[in-house]
Amino acid sequence: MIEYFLFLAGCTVMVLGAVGVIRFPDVYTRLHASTKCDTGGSISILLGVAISIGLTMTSVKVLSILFLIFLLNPVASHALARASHKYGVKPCKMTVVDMYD
Amino acid sequence: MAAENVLVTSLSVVIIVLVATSVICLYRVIFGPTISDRIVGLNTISTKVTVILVLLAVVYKRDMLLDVAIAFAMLNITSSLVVSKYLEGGFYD
Repeated sequence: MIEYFLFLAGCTVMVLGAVGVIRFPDVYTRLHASTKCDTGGSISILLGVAISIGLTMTSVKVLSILFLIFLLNPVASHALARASHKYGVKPCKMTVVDMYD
Repeated sequence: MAAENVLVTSLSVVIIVLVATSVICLYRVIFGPTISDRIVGLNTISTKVTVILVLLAVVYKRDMLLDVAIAFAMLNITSSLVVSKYLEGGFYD
């Protein structure tokens, strides 16, 4: 029963992340929306799949994909934020402080 | 048998939601003002496609698609890192 709640939570988080990617004004805020919502939603959905099919070889592979996403997705987002700051992409006008200059 | 059917139906609903959010993120890939916006959209879509591959492997009972999903996740990370290193310019010591 718990896997359906995990599916529901993952779908909600994914939809909110997509709205954030559309509506936020800036590269960095879009990264803020997309990274956390994408990683969290993927982990929730894949955990629900692994619970629903029990402990087999398939669920071990699903858990390895979960671990891969959990480990590597924030790394790519961090590298992308650093690279776009060095490339010269400006933050939006509402930004109060930029301490990485 | 009924529990199996409920699981397949809910997984299909999750797949439909993921495809819809991928289409929403495709707006940012097409109309993004800078290169970084497009890469953000592509990264999001690629993670969603990985999850969709896992769900399809469970629905159709094909274990081969799980290996494709592992390779696709690694390819997603590698492409993001390569493009960000290209944007950064210069060389690391």
